[in-house]
Amino acid sequence: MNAITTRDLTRSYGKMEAVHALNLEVPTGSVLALLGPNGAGKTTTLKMLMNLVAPTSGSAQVLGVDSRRLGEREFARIGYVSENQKLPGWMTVGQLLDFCRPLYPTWDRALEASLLRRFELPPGRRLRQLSRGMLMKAALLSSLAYRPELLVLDEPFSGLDPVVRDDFIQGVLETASTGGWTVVVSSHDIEEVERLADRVAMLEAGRLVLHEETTSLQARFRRVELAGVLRPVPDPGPDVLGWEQAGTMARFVAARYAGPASEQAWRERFGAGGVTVAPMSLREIFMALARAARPDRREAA
Amino acid sequence: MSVIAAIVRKDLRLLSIPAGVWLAFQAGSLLWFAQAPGFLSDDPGAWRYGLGVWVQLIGSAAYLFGALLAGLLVLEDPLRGTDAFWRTRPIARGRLLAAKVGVAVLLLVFAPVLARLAVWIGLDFSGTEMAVAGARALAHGTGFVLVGMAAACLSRTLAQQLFALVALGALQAGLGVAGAALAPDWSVLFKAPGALRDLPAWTALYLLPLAIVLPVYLQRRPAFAWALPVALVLLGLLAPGFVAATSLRWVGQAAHAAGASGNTAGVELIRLRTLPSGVVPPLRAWESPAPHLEVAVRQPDAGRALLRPAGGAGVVRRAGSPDLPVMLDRAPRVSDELLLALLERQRPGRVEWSLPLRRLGDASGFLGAEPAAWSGRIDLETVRLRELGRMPVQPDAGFVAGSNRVRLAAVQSPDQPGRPFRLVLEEREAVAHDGDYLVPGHRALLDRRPYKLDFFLLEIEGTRHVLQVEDGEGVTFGSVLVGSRRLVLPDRPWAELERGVVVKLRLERVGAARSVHVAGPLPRSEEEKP
Repeated sequence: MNAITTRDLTRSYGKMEAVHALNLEVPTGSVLALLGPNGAGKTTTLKMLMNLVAPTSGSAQVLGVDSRRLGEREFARIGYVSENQKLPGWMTVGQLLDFCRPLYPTWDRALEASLLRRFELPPGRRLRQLSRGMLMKAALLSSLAYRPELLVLDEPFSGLDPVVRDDFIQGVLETASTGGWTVVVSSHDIEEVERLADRVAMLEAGRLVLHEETTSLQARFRRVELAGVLRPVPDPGPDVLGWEQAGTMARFVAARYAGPASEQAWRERFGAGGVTVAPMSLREIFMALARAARPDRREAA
Repeated sequence: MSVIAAIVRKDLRLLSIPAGVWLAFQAGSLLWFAQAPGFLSDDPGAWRYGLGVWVQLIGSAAYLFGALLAGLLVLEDPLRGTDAFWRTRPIARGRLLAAKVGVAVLLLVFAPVLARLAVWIGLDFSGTEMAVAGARALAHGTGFVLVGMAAACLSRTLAQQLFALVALGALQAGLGVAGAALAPDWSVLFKAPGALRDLPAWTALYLLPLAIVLPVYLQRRPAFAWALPVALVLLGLLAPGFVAATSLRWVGQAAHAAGASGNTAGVELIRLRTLPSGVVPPLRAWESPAPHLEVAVRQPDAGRALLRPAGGAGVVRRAGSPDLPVMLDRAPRVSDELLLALLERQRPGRVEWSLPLRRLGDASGFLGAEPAAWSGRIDLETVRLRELGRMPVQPDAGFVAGSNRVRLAAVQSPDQPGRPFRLVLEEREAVAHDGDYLVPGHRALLDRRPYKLDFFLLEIEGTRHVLQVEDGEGVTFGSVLVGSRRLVLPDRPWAELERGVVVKLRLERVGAARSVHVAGPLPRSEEEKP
């Protein structure tokens, strides 16, 4: 059962296509990291999922409902925190919670109190007087306390210092793990997302270039260094990203690492004497994919 | 707590301070007007001219701020853009609208009336007065709140809201003007009540904002989002077009009726007489007791004669000749001399008067050259009297007539014998100037219209004297007109008052002044004269 399913979801602004034919499935209970550089279409995708922006074509199902028909009932089961969202700055934290509480039948006052303590939010302070980090925590609190089935976080870490980020992530992780929630978090800050996500989707220029479980992704990507490459390699092959060669040394990122068999294959293909393989973090994988996609973009342009 | 209640509570919190200041401002200004020195002074005109400007300014400012507060209410949970907090919360658009309307009604429509209520009670208003004044304040408040909400529905920021407010205001004014210009024809053509004249203005005030607010709130993505601004611009362009078209029609009619040159037709004498009500259609529905006029004109020798309106608006009548339209001016000037003469010559149901005509120069009309025409103006004064009330000539005496209250605020004795007495008459009129808020069974005392002076007939112990009201206008605040009138009395009948005798005072309405502007083709014989 998927919490989110999109079919050829597309959104254009004039001639510019912000999101192109996106096909995405987010199983219920999973944590999806929607990654991509600025302008990749992450926010537009999430806005389409939240019925804030209408798709130009294609469709999306969110919690079993067409995203264009999301309404009162569905939003009682969805939490949405965005860096762009405008909170009523004239309210105090307490007033914001007072306002939100009657909107949700499932509001958990104990969880509210617990999160309030954990995030160290001053209930009497006006939202406009809060720092950005505290403001995001207040928004998160107002979206967690009713235990939503789906939590959507749009660039929640932008501009947050490491301590606040840690609080934020811990809050999401701990709360989400208790109820088996589905979480979708968009970010270009991969290191932080790495701790959260069990699935990764990567957007590049509005197109989905990767959608995979984190463990599988980290299992198949490797940083490879070859020694003793005696001849230049003009075309290192489709699964090789960021090929660099200096003299007899070469390095690249392998996108389909399959253990010793892959190492043997590289020795034979490139005539290398030695092969050193190192695992990669999500950040390194993201960077490699992003760099690999750029020449394509330039060509497309 | 329901969703609506949660939003209402939040918005009440938001507006508590600005709306509180706004309400205090209204109540304070009302108190200031009521307590202002000079209200009962020797020169009430000074009070009116001194304070009246402030009354208008502060009254307008109160409504404008009301509209801005209504806009603030909408912009708190904006309908445009994708970053509003409420958009991803379980808040249905219908509930949001219901909550916003609830807060607006409570805080911006009813609360100002309650704030004024204390002042009205302090001014000793009757229950009827307060009810009528309250109804009027509610109606006006609702209109301005709707406009403010509509402007905010089209805006994302305060600056955009201000711009939209100005645009909507201009559009409404345009529609109102167009409606007023078109109204006389409606009355005549469809024999509709005169109140229909104000229909376009009311449409503009209420329906236009509603047509914006409802779809924007109730449709998630209004299909005509792009069409609204276009429609507004088109309507704005059409409004002056209505006025222009109306003017053209008047001129066209005049040019047509003038006929070919060489006519020897002319209008030499106009007889006027009052007619019982109901013989001719009433000028306006609520004026049915007012006298009416019939014009008898000598038939022209050839072609057709024409009586043109002095102003742009009027009521078409046919009398004497079936081809002769007579227009009554709605912004008449009063001739004291004529009034006195008419009063002197009053007969039940009939007054005659003649009009010497004078020649107008050749004029070029809108649709081409018009022949020179004769023109004259008759100031008509109707003389049907009705008793409005009785009161003794002593300060604080008064009477209530319909929804009006008249109080003799001061009796000023002359400094020396032979000089006129002065009465300062305070009149509270719980109806609008145009009579558009008349409560059934409570007619306005004076049937007041803008730019018109009122005349009274004062009868003391059976002797009639015409009084001129030197200051016949009041100012409206708190939705109730409070005017101060200085009645100049002839000195002779007041001798008894000086001996301390309480004299019965009878005030009677002399009626509304009317003007008829007369024009016709130039008679050949007159044309040839030097």
